[in-house]
Amino acid sequence: MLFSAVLLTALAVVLAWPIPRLFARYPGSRDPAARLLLWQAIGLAGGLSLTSAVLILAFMPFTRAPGPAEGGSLSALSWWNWLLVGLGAALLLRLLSSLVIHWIRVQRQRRRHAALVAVLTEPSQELPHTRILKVDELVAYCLPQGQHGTTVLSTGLIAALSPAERDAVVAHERAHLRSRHELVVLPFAAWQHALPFLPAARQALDQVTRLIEVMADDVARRTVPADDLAAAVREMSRLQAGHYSRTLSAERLARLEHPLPRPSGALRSAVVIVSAALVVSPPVVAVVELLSV
Amino acid sequence: MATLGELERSVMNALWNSVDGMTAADLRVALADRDLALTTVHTVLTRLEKKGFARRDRSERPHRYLALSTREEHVAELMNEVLDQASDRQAVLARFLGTVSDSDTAFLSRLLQRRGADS
Repeated sequence: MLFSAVLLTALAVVLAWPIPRLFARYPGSRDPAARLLLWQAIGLAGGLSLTSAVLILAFMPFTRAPGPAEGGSLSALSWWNWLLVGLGAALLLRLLSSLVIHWIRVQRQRRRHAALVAVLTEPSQELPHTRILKVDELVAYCLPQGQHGTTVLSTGLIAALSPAERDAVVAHERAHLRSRHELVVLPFAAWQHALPFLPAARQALDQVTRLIEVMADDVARRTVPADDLAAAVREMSRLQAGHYSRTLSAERLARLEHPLPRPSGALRSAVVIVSAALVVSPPVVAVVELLSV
Repeated sequence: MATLGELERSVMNALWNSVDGMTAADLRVALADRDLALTTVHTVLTRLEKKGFARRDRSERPHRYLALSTREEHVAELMNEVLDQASDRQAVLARFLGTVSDSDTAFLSRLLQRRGADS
């Protein structure tokens, strides 16, 4: 019992610090989807293992009890057990409530942004679900709202890019919307907000936001030429260097200039198995320990 | 039939162009090509007031409506959100180039410059 609690705590620590650090140091990825899955598993398993460890520790006198004669009564719990129960519950509640709170905050910001878009932009004459903002900066982004979402392009971008490049940008934005990438980012953004002191939370969010850009490119390439997309990335990062990440642009260009690498089936299976094991084992260990009373 | 959003945009454009505000009746005339009922104009104005785009001057009747901020101020507000470097904002919008903070390396910037020069 003490052993498994220590083991789970160790797992939580490893998942919270060295592993994300190691991961962030090697950002390139042949298979962004597999990497995304790993990040999701790391985040979930980190929270689960810490909560499980605290709960196992809390119920230690139960699990240590030699027979049913002594165990089974809540009076066997001393004040520090209750403290740990409270801590475990608070931890779990904190993680879950941060999701809900962040979701509400995001919805509010999104509504405000949609109101701004409605009064400041005009619907595009050629492209469906696309609106045009009159500014000289080169911006393209999408706002998840309604059934199709809205893509916003600036007049600066339309002037700077060829029609084929512009279509490639729109295809990239549609890929974000169709793949519901805002939902992928949400838990990472929520936990980064809830745990700003944890470097892993920032690294995870940073990596995930990069991964979804690469994944949106991969999807866009099914409908538009990769060359056009690459040209658009190059042009935008050249003209708007101050606003955007150079490393991310370089990462995307490097991928766009080659045929899409085939994801290795073996690697993918390994990632799925490791992720599942990471997420499932902490609660299983906790349940087994607590049932063995 | 224009959507409510499109009407809000037309009304705001009219308010931004006016010097000392407009009454609902003024707006109805200004948007005559849309053939709006006065109640529709009022509905749109109430919505714009609630959203913080317009304010009502109640000192005289009929009430005059004025834009709360200039168009440029609102554009700046929007652009701030779009170009925000804080990555926890990523859940709200997805941007074409992302705005993630940069841990740039000399190698990658050289790579980017070289590619830029090639084209």
